[in-house]
Amino acid sequence: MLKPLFITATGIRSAIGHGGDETLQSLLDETSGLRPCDFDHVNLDTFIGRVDDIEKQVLPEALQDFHCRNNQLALMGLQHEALMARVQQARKRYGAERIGVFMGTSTSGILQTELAYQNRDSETGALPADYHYAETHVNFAVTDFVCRTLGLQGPALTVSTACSSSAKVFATASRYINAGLCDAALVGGVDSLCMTTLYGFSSLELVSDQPCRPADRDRNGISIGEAAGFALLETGAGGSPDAFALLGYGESSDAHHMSTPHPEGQGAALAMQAALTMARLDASEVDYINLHGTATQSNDRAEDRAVVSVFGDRTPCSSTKGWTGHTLGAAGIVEAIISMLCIQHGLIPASLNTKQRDADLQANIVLTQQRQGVRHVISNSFGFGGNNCALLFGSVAS
Amino acid sequence: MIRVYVESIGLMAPGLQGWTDSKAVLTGATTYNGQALPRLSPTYLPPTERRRASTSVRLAVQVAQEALEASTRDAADLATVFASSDGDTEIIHNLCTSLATEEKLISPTRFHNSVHNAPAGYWHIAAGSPASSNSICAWDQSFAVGLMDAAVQVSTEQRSVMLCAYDMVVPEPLNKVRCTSIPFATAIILSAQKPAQGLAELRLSLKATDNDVSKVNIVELDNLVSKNPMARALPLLSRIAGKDPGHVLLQSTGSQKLCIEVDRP
Repeated sequence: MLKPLFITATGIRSAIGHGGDETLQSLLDETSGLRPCDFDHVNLDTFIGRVDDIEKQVLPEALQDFHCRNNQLALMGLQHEALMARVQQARKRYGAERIGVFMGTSTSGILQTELAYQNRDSETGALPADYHYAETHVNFAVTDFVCRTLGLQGPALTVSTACSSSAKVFATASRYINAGLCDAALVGGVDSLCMTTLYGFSSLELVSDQPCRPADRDRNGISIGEAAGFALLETGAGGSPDAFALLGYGESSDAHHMSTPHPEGQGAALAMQAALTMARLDASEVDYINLHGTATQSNDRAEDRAVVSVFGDRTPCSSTKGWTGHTLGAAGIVEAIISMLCIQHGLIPASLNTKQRDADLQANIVLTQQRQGVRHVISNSFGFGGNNCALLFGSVAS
Repeated sequence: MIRVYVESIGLMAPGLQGWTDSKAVLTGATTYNGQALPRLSPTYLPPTERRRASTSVRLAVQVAQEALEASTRDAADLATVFASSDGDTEIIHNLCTSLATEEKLISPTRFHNSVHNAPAGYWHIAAGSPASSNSICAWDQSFAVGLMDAAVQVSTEQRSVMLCAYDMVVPEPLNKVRCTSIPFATAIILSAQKPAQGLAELRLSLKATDNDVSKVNIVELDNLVSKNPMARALPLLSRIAGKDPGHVLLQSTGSQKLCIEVDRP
């Protein structure tokens, strides 16, 4: 049995704001961060969850080779006083080698490569001289950047399992701490807008021409967003009154199809059940499920089957992608942080943008925001390749 | 310190085609010849998937299949860790080439094959395995970090885990910034309990030390390290092949090195 871990600080930057307070306010006000696509390099009829002013973010002098949209966004996500202070305290207390850094991303700084390919030498085909592959493009680049920015020297890796990436980092951190390889871990996820994902999901006909409508009868695809999120995990709450506990996680594979979920949500159900088992909680003790809820026909239907098979049709659930868009490799951390806000403030968000609930869905999709005590939340993240992860959070008091 | 047992190994690289046939090369009993790999077509993938799968996926599945067949494990309950430094650079190259055109038309299959966990997805579909699967990277340290990630899962969750570490050749023009010029892949099945017929016992720890990382004492094999980051597995594979107890030190992340004490099973 793994020891539960405590989340003692978080940082978040998404289309609905900077930090927990702005994120919470947007959830309460039901103001979506989605807007018609105005991303320079893309000409598609869709909506995006874009973070303003990433282009203006300056990286530290010593890390100029890491300059790319994804690392700029990572730095914006780190810039929270409480998070930075807590990480530096942990560094002092445990040592730079005793803090793990586990980051999730699906495309890292691939935009830099896309732009480099647009600027290949017309005669030789060479990439521009100022293109830095290792520091921007590769999936490890964001983890490397975070380690260097914070002066951390311990175990580090990038998890890249598409849209479950930054949920799975919580499981990785839990195992590394329980195995004694580190005393604390900074986990997170960063994915930023790029042509590969916008045109790629579009080629699969999975991108909506409207703001995404999870669980809606007429839903027709995702809205792609970008975000950075971080959480510091420690073995004790360390006097932090706002700390949350990671009580369980579940990971599974669909073994069905590369880009379509299992129709009955078998893998998703396994992941949720495993999280409950690890937390030694009964399904009835979960007060809210933050759905993966991408607003594709197949995801929402499969996830609904999975939820109903594990929880029945009463547990309140909703997707918050109507606010942030689908932030892909960052979705896990973004929705983990939203789940913690829901526990802290007794909030069950409505399924934003859902006009006409799909009658084929059996789960208790919440259409009107509710304020009530929330003890335990499950957050779902599923990715291409049939990769599933469910996280179970509670308050320290629970 | 984390103790795990090596049940079986798969290996594929020029001149190292299959674990069983490579043992003599790895111990220096036979001379390394560097013979290029044929087109890989692992039978573990159903024919339709085999056609759709990229060269990276086929390389990864080839070694995974070899390790699985040499073990007593059922693929359906084997958790996996797939490690790759660069992912599928051939697909990245194709996508970025298309995205540099006016039309920006990209193939949907190519797009879903571009995710870092594509080999894991293909493997679990072929295996019908609902077990958990991680896909990781850590630049040149991806083998060492992948091995540790798999061992951590074995020890904390008391289950068998297959590590599949692979990197395919990087195409033009990306090979100017990442010179991976040969394919290299190895799969290692690890378990918590001593298997009836295992290959080695490993005890892993992370250490901050100035000691040099291990090298293979066969110059032709040592040369492979500069041609593919996954060839950093060779000092460990060589020691296991030679049933030669001792230490292997590999560079890990930050200021740490991965220390592996290798023992006979």
